[in-house]
Amino acid sequence: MMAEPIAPIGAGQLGLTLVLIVLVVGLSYYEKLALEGEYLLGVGRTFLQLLLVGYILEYVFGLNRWYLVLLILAVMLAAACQAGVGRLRRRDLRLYPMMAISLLVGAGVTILVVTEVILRIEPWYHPRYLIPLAGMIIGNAMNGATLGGERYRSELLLRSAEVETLLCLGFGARRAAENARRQAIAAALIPTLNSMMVVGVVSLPGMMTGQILAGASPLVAVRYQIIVMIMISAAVSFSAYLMVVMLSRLYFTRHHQICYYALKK
Amino acid sequence: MSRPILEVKGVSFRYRISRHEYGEPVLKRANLEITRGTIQVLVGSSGAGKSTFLRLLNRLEDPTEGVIRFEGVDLAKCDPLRLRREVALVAQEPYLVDGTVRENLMLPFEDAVGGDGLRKKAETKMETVLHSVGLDGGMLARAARGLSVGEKQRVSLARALMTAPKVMLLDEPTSALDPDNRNLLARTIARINSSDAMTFVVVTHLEDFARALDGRLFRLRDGEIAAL
Ligand SMILES: Nc1ncnc2c1ncn2[C@@H]1O[C@H](COP(=O)(O)OP(=O)(O)OP(=O)(O)O)[C@@H](O)[C@H]1O
Ligand SMILES: [Mg+2]
Repeated sequence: MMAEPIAPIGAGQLGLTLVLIVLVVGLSYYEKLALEGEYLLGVGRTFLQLLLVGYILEYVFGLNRWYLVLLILAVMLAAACQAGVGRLRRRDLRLYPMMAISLLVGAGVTILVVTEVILRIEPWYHPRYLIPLAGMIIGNAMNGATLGGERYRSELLLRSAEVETLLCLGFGARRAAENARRQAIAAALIPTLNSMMVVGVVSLPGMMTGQILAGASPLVAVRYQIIVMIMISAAVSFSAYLMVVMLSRLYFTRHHQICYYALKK
Repeated sequence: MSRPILEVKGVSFRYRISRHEYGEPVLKRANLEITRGTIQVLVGSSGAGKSTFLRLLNRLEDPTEGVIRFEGVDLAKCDPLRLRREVALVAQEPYLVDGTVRENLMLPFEDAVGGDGLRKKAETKMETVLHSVGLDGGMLARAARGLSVGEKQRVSLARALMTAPKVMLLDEPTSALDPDNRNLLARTIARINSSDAMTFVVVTHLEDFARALDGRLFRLRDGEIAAL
């Protein structure tokens, strides 16, 4: 089957999205949602950020240099690390290295397996593959680490009687926090599991939609999507697990004592 | 006179409120010597720091200042996991794991180093231990979830007794017990104390119960411990 070339979108067409934007603003005004300002800011950022990324990617794809690709991956990791720690809503500098390691290892392993073992892209840094895939993997790894980390904290607080009882019986912190850890990792995985259950039935994933719009055969697009779903589940579980395990060093002392102050927001 | 089994020397304690900040002092240079095989009864108003004091004795917290010694050894030098099996703490709020009463009583032997032999021995002890806290053997198969608070409290005490610790720290063990069971508990403590020479530190706010225990009475006030 011949792929049709993708229809380009002109600046004028992009401008016509104004029709929809005006409708949303009108709705917000009519229903007194008081969201007009925020919505317009969101629209502005969407335009600005995506156009900027478009130019950067175009440039990087054109130059096709491995160090530029790695630089972009590093920037994505750093941004995800910053955003992830921000979402944990606690100011503790020790969270940065923890988040960094859980993303670096959780996302890194997944990126390596997907691009170098499964897809075997040529050259190994092929930016057209590596950058978008790594972006998805890093974003999901960040979600896993923050969901898991936040849930771990709240579970430990909620289960402090359980944890302390087990410590009192002479068990170590690892055993005492077992249920909390389990709950946290499971909670991080649930959104991914849910989306795996309904993928293709209730919704078409964004990446697949994009490929089809760009003229790819649906048969090719679904294969990519299958890999994407699996890689997302891997990135989420690896990084959530690593984050939870590392957070134990924040929430317990090495003498198997709970640090209550660290558990509070 | 023999060396005290537990020795609290000039202990001050503040909870941490952040990594580098501490809250108000809960204990201020508190001192106490606990002789092996005695019953110590600690009273004090709510928030005085009684639970905190017990938590220091089994190293759930470390003193900000001063030392605590168990059998002459600074707790800071003890392996906390082994210490907690010798100095057992039964918390104010009973917590039982999901499962049966039997599973709860066997919980301390989950990773028993002594292996099957130790577990077999423990299993033969379960009924006797339950009896000693006023519960009968038929209870073993009951689900922990379905127990009343008072029953839970006694099962959690029985669970701590299963490992025969040298020191038993009881935090408000009567908070959910009726007068009959309070008396039974006082008699049980007295009996185990005299038969096994187990040392007890009991926190209570009930004067009757404190008197029934017939131990050495202390009050914790303004961060200091004073004999009554
Ligand atoms: N984890 C904690 N972090 C910070 N402060 C705490 C913590 N636990 C207890 N405190 C504070 O320490 C003080 C002593 O508390 P503690 O629980 O030891 O009192 P208590 O004498 O056992 O009271 P009660 O009779 O009500 O059980 C209280 O002011 C309490 O608010
Ligand atoms: Mg208390």
